Amino acid sequence: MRAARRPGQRIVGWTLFFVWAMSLAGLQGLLTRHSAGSFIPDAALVLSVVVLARAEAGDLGLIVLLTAFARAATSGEPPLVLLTGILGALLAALLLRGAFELSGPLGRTLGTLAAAGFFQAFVLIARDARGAGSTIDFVAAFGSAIPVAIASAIAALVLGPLLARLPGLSPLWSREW
Amino acid sequence: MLSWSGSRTIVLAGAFVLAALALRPFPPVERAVDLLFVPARFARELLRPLGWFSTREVRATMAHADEAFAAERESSRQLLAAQIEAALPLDPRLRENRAFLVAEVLERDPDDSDLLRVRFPPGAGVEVDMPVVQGDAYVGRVREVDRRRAGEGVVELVTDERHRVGAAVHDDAPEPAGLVVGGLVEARARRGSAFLLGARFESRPVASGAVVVGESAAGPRAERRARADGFRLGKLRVLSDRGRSILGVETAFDYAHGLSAVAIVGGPELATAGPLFADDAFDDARWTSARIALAGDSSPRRRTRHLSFDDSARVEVGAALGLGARFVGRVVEASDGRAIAALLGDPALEFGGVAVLDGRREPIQLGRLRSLGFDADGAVLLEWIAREDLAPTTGRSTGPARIATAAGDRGVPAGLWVGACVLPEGPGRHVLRLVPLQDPAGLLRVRVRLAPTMLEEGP
Repeated sequence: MRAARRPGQRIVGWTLFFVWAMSLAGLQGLLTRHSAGSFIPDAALVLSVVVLARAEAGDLGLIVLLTAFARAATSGEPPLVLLTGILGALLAALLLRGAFELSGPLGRTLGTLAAAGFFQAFVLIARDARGAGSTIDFVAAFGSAIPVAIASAIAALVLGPLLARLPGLSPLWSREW
Repeated sequence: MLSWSGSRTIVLAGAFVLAALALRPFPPVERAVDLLFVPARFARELLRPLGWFSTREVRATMAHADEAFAAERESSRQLLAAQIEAALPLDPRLRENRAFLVAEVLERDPDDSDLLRVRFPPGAGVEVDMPVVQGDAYVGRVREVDRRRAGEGVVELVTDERHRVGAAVHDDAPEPAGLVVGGLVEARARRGSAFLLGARFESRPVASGAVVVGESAAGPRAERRARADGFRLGKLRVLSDRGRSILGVETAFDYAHGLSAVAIVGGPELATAGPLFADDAFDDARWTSARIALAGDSSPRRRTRHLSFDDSARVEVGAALGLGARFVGRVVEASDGRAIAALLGDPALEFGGVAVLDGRREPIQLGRLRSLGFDADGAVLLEWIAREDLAPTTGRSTGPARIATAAGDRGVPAGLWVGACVLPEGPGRHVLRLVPLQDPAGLLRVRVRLAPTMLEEGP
């Protein structure tokens, strides 16, 4: 059952979701600045999967848009690539929702693994595809995505409950948690 | 409102359309999405407090760069002086009754690699048809003097298919044979590192010999062109292709790389006094300060930064980012007082480089260097395609070297120091492991090269 929420509360909830996502993306940027970032989790995407698990499926568009905004503020990738990558990533997680409870440990771990893996690979493939005269290296793209996907899945497993309790997000939940 | 299951098909179809547009950009859609994301620029400012964590590190970096600036600028000027020296002819006979104006190559025409955009001191008296040389080799001639950008012009290389230059072949006969040379011999343009220029006899046929410029036409334009007489073109070759004889001039001069500085040849009236290069790398008026909102990039393996400027700066795509005399990256997107830059280590970064081997003065033109990524210790990986004739005059081309920016990229002045690496031996693809002089990762403020001022279009 969806908890009765006033529109004002949901607006505040979405605003805070954006602020949290952007802050996590910013922290992730700081962590990766001195390293290639292979095993650093995609924290903003982990938060998105956690929220997706508890929000209504119809909120997918808003989650995608706000996550893409948060990423665009902290990344040099073209906004269209971020938007598409995050949409694909969260769709991959959403498809798993039919088989697993995404808010549970196994579901959110697998959902984040799929989402982070897809997103990282898509960004690398898009970079190749957009480069003048370059060829797309699918194997390298998915190979590079694996460490980030694993790190993100572990982060979702360990930190998922904590992220779900971040201040201001509860108005977004579709039922009482 | 549609349920998730009801709208699933629509969402999936939309995702596929977006994916297609993301992989094969369609400019109107790209612009529309960029516009949608404009608020993200302002939201980014909220992240500025994250920079406070590294204030001490940033201050130390800036202080260190300031301290080193005077010495690095001096060594940069020595490097530029060596490049200018290399652009002037060595043969004293070629210097007689001529004046030489060294011009910096800004870029190749994106649509025609046989056209070079060059910069020279404004008001120096450069005119169309003046020959352009590098060392003792003929390069081409001035095709156009830009009326909107003072001190800029276009040089047409001898490899351009429209280019024709009178030449003389010196064989054993008392009088040289006449030739017309220009463009490349189709499909046989390159033999290893050598180019094969097209040629046809104007007088008696000869089998071989050294080819130099020898203009014979009359008139004021021809007089200007004739200043190139005696400059080297190459060696005459008669090749056989399916029973057909092909005449060509083989030249070891690499017109595709290494054209960082060239010399415009004129009469004694040509004003040759001026700064080392017209585009002085250290002219404060050509740099502006930019703030970095967040010293990090949330995409792994990327090292981009969002820049904001204190004023309405004339920043163009390709502009260099520097700290003192150090090169740290280039602008890859610019609009409305904001820009995105790719730092050293970001895969979107490319620049022209020169190497100065330890213990040597002469720079070696490396051509394009493409950033591949970076290691945890801060080393930057650069892809470099080494040519066969890398250092024909210096003899040695391997060993520890310092890397600096070369001329030839608009927005990047020659002579900014990039870092140190070991140049490997042999031609082909190499990955250089460069220790950057300036680790750009933690910077929160950089200098950005400004575009030159545009002049009003004349009547």
